[in-house]
Amino acid sequence: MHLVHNTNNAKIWQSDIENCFYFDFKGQQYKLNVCGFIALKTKLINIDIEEMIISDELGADIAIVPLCNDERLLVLTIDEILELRELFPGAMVMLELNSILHSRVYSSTL
Amino acid sequence: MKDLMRQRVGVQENIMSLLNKQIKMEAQASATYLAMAAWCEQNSFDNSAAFFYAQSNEERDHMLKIFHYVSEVGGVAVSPEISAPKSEYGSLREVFETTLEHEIAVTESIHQIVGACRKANDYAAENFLQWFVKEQVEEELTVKRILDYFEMLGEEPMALLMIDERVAKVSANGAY
Repeated sequence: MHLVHNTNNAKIWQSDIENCFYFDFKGQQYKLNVCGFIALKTKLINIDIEEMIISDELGADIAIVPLCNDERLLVLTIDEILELRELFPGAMVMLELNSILHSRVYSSTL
Repeated sequence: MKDLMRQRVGVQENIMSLLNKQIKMEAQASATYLAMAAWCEQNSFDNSAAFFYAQSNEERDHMLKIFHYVSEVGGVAVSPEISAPKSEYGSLREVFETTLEHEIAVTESIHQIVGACRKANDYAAENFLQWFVKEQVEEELTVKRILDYFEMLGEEPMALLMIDERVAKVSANGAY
């Protein structure tokens, strides 16, 4: 497994054998395929944090994010959302860097 | 480390995000044209109503075309949330002027995505979008032609009926 990116409390790994990503967070591990990875990143970005802060409604300060085809749920506080918003885009940058390396180094030797 | 992202997804993330925004824009346009069709029907502009029903369907087809493309290349297509469209208009001319504004906004959005595709060397997405570039030229031309009739004929009741009749011909034959 290759560590793609990490923050203080979360990590994203890539498994070349299983062709998927693993996401470690709060003592739990979540398996994500590529689509699931992109979908989770999109969901995190689309959370309206401003509304969560402003709202007086009970439970407005947490967000429930389904993942793995609804098999599991993430219940996130604002701090956790902010951390994951750093983790996922950071991981995406690393994966893009990996793509550039592949196209510049590996593909040119084929 | 494998290039898993490239192996599974044939479109870059920023392009996929722009395409999803375009999906939302097309869906919003479809809803807007449906509201316009209702207004036209309420005001007895039957041909204009038929024109906007057809436009609404066309925008939904555009949305689906992009939706299928994003899914086919392994991306995540997002079924969009749309806001309630404006349903009250002051005149038939206002309806068509608003339509032209929408079409210009869609054209500019498509051009921006094509620009982003070129920057990202995403030739497949650029090639896919060329159909939309051509389509937008026709869409704008059709609405501009209808707005020309308002300039020529004015907005008296008789003129409006004549314009409504012309709308049927323009939509059946294209702008030319």
